[in-house]
Amino acid sequence: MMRVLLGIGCLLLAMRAAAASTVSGAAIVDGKPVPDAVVYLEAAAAAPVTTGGHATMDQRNLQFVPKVLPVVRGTTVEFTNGDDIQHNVFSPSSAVRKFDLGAYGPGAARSVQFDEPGEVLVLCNIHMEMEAHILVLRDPYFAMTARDGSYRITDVPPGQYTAKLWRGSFLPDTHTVDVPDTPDFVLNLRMGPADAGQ
Amino acid sequence: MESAARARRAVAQVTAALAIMLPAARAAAIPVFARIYNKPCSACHTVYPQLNPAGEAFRAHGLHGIKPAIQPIAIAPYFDIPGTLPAALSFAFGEDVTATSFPGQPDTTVSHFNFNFLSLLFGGELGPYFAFMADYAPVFTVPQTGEVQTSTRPGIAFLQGHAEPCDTLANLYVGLFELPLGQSPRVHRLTVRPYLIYNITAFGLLGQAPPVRSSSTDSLVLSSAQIGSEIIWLDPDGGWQAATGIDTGSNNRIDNNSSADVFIRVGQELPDRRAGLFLYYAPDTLGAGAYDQALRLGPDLMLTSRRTRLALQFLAGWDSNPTGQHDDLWYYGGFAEGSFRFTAALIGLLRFDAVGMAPFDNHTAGGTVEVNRRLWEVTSGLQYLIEENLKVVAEVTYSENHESVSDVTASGVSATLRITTAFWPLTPPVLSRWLGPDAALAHPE
Repeated sequence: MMRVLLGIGCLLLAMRAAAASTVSGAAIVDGKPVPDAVVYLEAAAAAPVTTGGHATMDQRNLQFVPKVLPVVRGTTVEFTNGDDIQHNVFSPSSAVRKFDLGAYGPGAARSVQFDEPGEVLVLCNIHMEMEAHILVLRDPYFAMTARDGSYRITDVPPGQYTAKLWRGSFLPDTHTVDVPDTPDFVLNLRMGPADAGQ
Repeated sequence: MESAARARRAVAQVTAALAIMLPAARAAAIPVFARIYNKPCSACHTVYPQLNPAGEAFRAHGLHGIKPAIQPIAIAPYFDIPGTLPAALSFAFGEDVTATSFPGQPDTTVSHFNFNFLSLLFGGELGPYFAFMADYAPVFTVPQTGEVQTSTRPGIAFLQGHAEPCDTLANLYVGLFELPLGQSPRVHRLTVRPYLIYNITAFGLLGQAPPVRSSSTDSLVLSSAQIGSEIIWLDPDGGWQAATGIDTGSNNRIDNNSSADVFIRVGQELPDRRAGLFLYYAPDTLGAGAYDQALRLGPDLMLTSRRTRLALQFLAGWDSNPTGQHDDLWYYGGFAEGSFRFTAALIGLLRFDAVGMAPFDNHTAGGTVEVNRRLWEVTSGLQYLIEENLKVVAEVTYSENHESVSDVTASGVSATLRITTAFWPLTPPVLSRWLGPDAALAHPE
C-alpha cells in the first residue's frame, strides 16, 4: 500500500514538473503599450514540425480578417471569400512561401500550408487596399496583444525561451526568459530606446 | 456672348465655393451601384471609372451577382425595379490649356476654365435576368475653346438581358452601347484623352470631309457608342469570350444609310490578362449611294497586376471609297498604355498613340487628294483620389501631325487639371459631411 501511495506521489510530482505555465504581461515599446502586435516565445531547441493545424483568414468588406494571423509552422491557412464580390489572394513573400491562389468568387475558399517560419505578406491583386500578414512561427507559444498591450500565452512548458515581438515587422530586440515551473508567469516585454536597460 | 460669359462666371463662383469646401469633404461612395450594393467604389473600380477584375466579373454577370443593400421592388414575376432612384450625377471642371504650332502661322496658346461635363448616370438590375445602364451629358465644354454646348443625345443607353446556359455567361445588349474593343473607349476609360486609333476616321486622316455631306458626323467612329444589339458569351472557367453584334455604325445617331454593320471580338479574359481580336465591317459608312465599305481589324492585349496595368491595342483600318473616287485607303495604328498605382489613392499613367496610313493619291482616278499622314501623341498623367468618388486629374499630351506630301508638321500640347466626381444627387460629397456617413444609404423602407 505504501509503495502504491509513494508511486502515486512520484507521478504527481513528475506531472507537476511537466505542467505548463501561462505567460502573460504587456508589450511596451518606447514606454507605450503596443496593441495588435504578436508576442512569441522560441524555445532553446526547435520542436519538430507538426502538421494538421488549421487557421482561417477571411475576406470581408474588402478587408482581410484578421489582418495579422500568427500560426505555428505546419499550419494550413484557409483563405475564405466572405464577400459577395471576386477576390484574389497572393503573396510575394518568396522567403517563406510565395503563392497565388488566383481569383475566386463569393463563398469559395483556397488553402496554403506554411512550413517555413517567417513573415508572409498577403495581398489581393484586385483590391489594392487589402493587406494582411501571416506570421509563421517556429514554436506554438504566441499571442496577439490587446488594445492595452496585454497578452496571454497558455501551455508554455517550463524552460528557457527567447521572447520576441512582431509589430509590423520583426523587432530586433529579444529577451531571454526562464519560464518557471509555476502556473502563471508575468513577463512584461519592454523594448525600444526608451526602455533600454529596464 | 454676354450670356456665355455670365454662365462661365456663375460656374466659376460655384467652383470656387466647392474648392474651398473640398478639403472637408468626406467619403461618399454613392454613385448608382455603390449605393445600391453598399460597396465602396474600390470594390469594382481601380480608380473610377476604370473597372478592376471584380467589376469586370460583375459586368460579365449581367450587372448581377451582388446582394443589393437596397432591396428591389417586385413588379412582376422575374421583373423588379431598383428600390431607390437608380441615378447619380457626375461632373468635372477645371482648367484646360492648349498650345498649337503650325508652320507659317503664329503659335497660339489658349487657357480657360472648363466645366468639362455634367452627366446623369443611371443603372441597376431589373430582376434576375435584366439590367439597364445609361448616361447622358446635357452640358459639356469643348476643351480647345471653352465653348459650352448642350447635347440631346445620350452617351450610352442599353437594356441588358442575362442568362447562364450550360455554365456559361450570356449577355444580350440592346440599345446604345460601347463596342467590345480591347479597352473601354469611353465609359471606363481612365485617361481623359481619347484613344487616337479609336477616334480616327479615314476622312480625318485625309483631311477631307466625307463626300456625302450629311455623313460628316455620322461616319463610323469606334470610340462612340453605337445603336444596335450585341450578344456576349463568356466561359467563366477558361475565360474564353466571344462578342458579336449588329449596329448602325452611325455613332449615337439613328443611321445615315440603309446598311447594318457587324462586329465580332473573340478572346480570353482572365483576372490578370486579357487578349482578343476585334473585327468590324461596315458595308457602307456614307449612304446616299456613295458606298464606302469599312473594315477595322486588330488584336489587343492587357496585362494587370496589383499595381500595374499594361494595355496594347493594334488596329488596321480600311475604307473602300473615302473620297467618292473609288480609291481605297489602308491605315493602321494603336496605343500602348501603362498605369502604375503608387498608392491606393494615386495612379500615374503614360500612353503612346500612333496612327499611320498607306500613301493615298487619287489623281489617276480624277481626284485631287494626295496625302501621307503620320499622327502620334504621348499622354502622361496623374490621378489622385481625394475621396473614393472625388478625384483630381492632371494630364498632359504632346501630339504631332506630320503630312509628308506637303512636308508639314503641326504640333500641340494640351493639358488639363480637373476635378471629377460622381455622387448620389441627394448627398453630394460636400453635403454628406453634414448629413453623416449613413445618409448615403438613406432610402425609403
